Formats: sequence, structure tokens, C-alpha cells
Amino acid sequence: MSAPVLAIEGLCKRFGGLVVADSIALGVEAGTCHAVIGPNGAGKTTLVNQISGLLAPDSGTIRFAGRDVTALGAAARARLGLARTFQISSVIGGFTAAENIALALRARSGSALSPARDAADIAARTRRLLAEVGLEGMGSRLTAALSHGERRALELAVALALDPQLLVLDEPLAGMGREESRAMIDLLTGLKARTAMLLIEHDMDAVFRLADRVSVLVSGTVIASGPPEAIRTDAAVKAAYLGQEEAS
Amino acid sequence: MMTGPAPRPVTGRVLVALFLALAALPLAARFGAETAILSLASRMIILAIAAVALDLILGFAGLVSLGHAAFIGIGAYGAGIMAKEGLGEAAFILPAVILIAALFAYLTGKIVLRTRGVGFIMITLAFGQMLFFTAGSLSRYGGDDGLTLWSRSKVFGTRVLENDLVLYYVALAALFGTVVLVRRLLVAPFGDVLRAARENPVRVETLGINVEAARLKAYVISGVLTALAGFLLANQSEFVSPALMGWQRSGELVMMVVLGGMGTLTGPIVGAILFLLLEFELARLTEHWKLIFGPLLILVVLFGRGGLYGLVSRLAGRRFAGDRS
Repeated sequence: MSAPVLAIEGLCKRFGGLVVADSIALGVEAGTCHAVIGPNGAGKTTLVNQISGLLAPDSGTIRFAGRDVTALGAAARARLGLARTFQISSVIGGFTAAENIALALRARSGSALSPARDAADIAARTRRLLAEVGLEGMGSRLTAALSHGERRALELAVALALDPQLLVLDEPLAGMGREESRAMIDLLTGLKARTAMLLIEHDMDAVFRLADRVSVLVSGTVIASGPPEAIRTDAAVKAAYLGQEEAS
Repeated sequence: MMTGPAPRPVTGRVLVALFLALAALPLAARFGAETAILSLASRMIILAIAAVALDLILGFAGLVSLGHAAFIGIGAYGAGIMAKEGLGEAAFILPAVILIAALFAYLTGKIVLRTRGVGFIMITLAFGQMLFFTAGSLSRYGGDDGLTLWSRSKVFGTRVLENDLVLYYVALAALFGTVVLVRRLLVAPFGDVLRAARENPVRVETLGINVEAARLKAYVISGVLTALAGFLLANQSEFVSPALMGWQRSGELVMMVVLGGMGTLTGPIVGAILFLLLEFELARLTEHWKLIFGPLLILVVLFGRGGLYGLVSRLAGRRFAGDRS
């Protein structure tokens, strides 16, 4: 097995009396998808925010691509190749789809604050990324005018523009219809060879199709971690989480 | 493929027409009260420089500063103090003013940019007032009463600025330079970063872009340009006083930008011209001219989303959304 892209150890975070991360240990191997599941309020988004650098942990370390990034901010981590999507689609509404991707491409190449000299190159790469996520020819559309599914796809293209080593996906299927979900799952399956993934998702079909490894987070604690088949049959997981799902 | 803002020929034409009109104004002024008109027009242009500079951070970056007059003060006192000390030479004053304004913007920007919304307004206000009271305590330079410039700044030893017409065209050239510079910044990726960060700073940050560094850069550029306006203003009025940098003046700069149209380049220029014109005309009617001006501004804000320039653009059936020039 190769060295882990992401390695989290002893991660703790509390908001006042509420413990949202209780010595979480988690790793993502290169070329794999690690899914984190758990009931609402388990601390999944808080975990994602700590991984991407928007939230500082109280204690513990986060290692990314072989270096300790615990003290780095979100921008610095993104420049190292840690890309993320948000639970609520986060793209710039006043920009066109192409402008959103160009922003990310320029951030990656470090030319975000310098005069544009690479317009043709950026345009070509933008077209490729749009085609890849199924938004061919929609570059000049204003993002605010895109459908929910299209915005999700665009957000994925923006993340891919960062040429990530790790893609952190916070509920990429939230609010999507059956058809859109299927297309997104296919898309993500195709990306596994290119980047490691940390997937937060409620859709169990998606989790069991995509994940090579699943961790179950309940009240800030990882109560089980293992291959999908093992998790599916784990008694504690069933009691804490999957049982509720099936019952509902 | 649109990766940057599309060219907007419509507004480009409006800007060019505006500059041509301003360039021709002194000719028309010959048929009227030339000195008074030229003096008013010079002030309009000088404050338009400050308004365009303010719009860079206010309209494009979404940062509401209530302390921007401090930079006017730095430029104006730079000219005043150097004149008093017998160093009234633009070749010395300008580099000094640029350096001090950049330094002040950098140091205060480091602090104010950590805050958002009301916090930002309050801290810029506080820094502005700090400078206001500092100027008032400079007894050697007139204290609260201010300082008269017995002569305008020399330009490489010549006294060309003493001529009102020359000063007018120097100011107009400076405004043109300001517009060209700010426009270049805005059509570059840098402008995209500012606009994107105004809408969603967290998203921009997680793309690997240092939002604070981009805003600081805009803040410093804006401050320096505003200080240049202050330098010109001191030479135009031949008088500097702490009142130049009071928070009311900062508020007036914000009003000009809002009145004309935030987030455009034409808007602040139109706003500055109209503000001074209204002030001039209404003040002839009554000394309580702000009683008329206030409601007028409220109407523009309520009904003219995008300021007067936005209102006119929409009435003319043009799409205003995303307008960038």
C-alpha cells in the first residue's frame, strides 16, 4: 500500500460543551475513496472544515501529502492540492461557469493576482473541464442561472481545476434527483484513478458503490472503520446508524 | 470563451464622451464666469479621482470605508507641510505622499481587513479620526484652523500649477490615469478575485487564493490614488485643514460613489460631479441644502439600484447586471 494522502490523528474539537470531534483518527490512501457516514449532527461537516483548514482543531494533527498542515490556512492547503466541495453548492453566482473555473485554474498556477497573459491556455483547460463534468458549451452561462445539478457539476469542475491530490466531497448528492445522482456517481467513479477522495454522503447506494473504505462517525467519534462489506454487517453500526436508516 | 469580463463598448463610449466633455469644458467656461467654473470643475475632477479610488474597495471589493478622507488629508497635508518648510516641489512631495499613503494604508489595512461589515466601517472611521485629530494638533501647521499655501507646488522648479487652466488639465490627466489603472486592475484576474471574494470569501480562500492579500493590495492602491487627489485638492484650494479628513468628508466620498453607481468606473465620476454641482446649486438656494440633498440621495438609493448611472443604463434599456466599466 502507498503512503496515505491524508492522515488524521487524535483530532479533537469542541464548541463549548459540545464535543464535535473526539480523538478522530482517519486516513485516505492514494487512489482510493474513503467515505465518512454518520447521522445528522455527528460532526461530519466540522471534520471537513478542519481538514480543509477553515476551522482549527483544539488538538491533534492533520498530515497531507506527507507534511503536517495542521497550522496552515485554507488557502495554503488548497495550493498543496487539497480541494473541497461544499454541502451547499459554493460557486460564485455573479460569474459565468467559465469564470468560476478560470478563477480556480489561475489560483492553481499562482497567477490569480497578476495580469492575464495565459487567457488562451486557461480557456482551453476550462473547456476541457466543463466537458468532463457534462457542462459542455455552458461556459458563458451565468452561474446563478444554472440548475442545482449543474451547479454541483460546476463545483466539481472547479475543484478539479485545482488538480487535487485529495478531493473532499461534502454531500455531493444532496438535493439531487435520481438521474442526476446516477450521473454524479458515474463521474466520481471515473475520477478515482486521478485523485484520492474523502466522501461525506447520506446516500448509501453511492457510498457502497464508490468507497473502498468506510468510517462511521457518531457524536464526534469514529465507532467503526473498515471495508464497505464489513461496515454493512457491523452490529454496532447497524444499531447506531444503518438501523435507523432502514427503519425510516 | 469568456474568462474575463467582456468588453462593454457602451460604457466605454460613455466614459470617453465624459472625458471629451471635461476636456472641452474650459473652452465653454470662457463665455461665463471662467474662474468660478474652472475652480468648481477642478474640484469635481479631483474628487472624482478619490471616488474612483474608493470604488475600487467599496464597489468592487465590497469594503465600506468611512475613513477614506484620511488619505485625502495625507496628500493635502503633504503639499501643505512641504510648502511651509520651503520644499514646495512636486518632485519631492509626490514620492513622499505616495510612500506615506502606501505605508498608512498597509499598516491600517493589515488591521481593518481582519474585520467585516460594521467592524470594518468602525475601524476605518477610527483610523480616519485619529489622523483628523493628529492634524488638528499640529500647531506649527495651523492646528484646527488649517494652513494656507502661499504658493502652489512647483513642478521641477516651474510655477506652471499657478495657472488654473494648467491645474485643471493636470487633474483631468490624473483622473484619466486613475481610470486607466483601475480598469486594468479590474479586467485582470486580480479584479475577478476581488469580485469573487466580495460574494464568497470562503470559496475563494479554499481555491488557494489569499483573499486578505488581494484586498490589502486594493486597499493600498486605493489609498495612494486618494492621496494624490488630496495633493491636487490642496493645490487647487491653496488651503489645508483637518476638516479635509473628517469623517463627514469620508461619508461624502461614499455618497458620491453610491449616488453615481457603485461597482462601475463611470458611476463615481458622475457621482462626484453631481454631488458638487448639487452642493453648489442647492447652497445658492438655501444654507440648509442638505435638507434637500439628503432625501434626494435616499430616492436614488431606493429606486436607482446601481446609482444614477445604473438608473440611466436601465432606462436606456441596457443590461446593468455584471457591468464592469
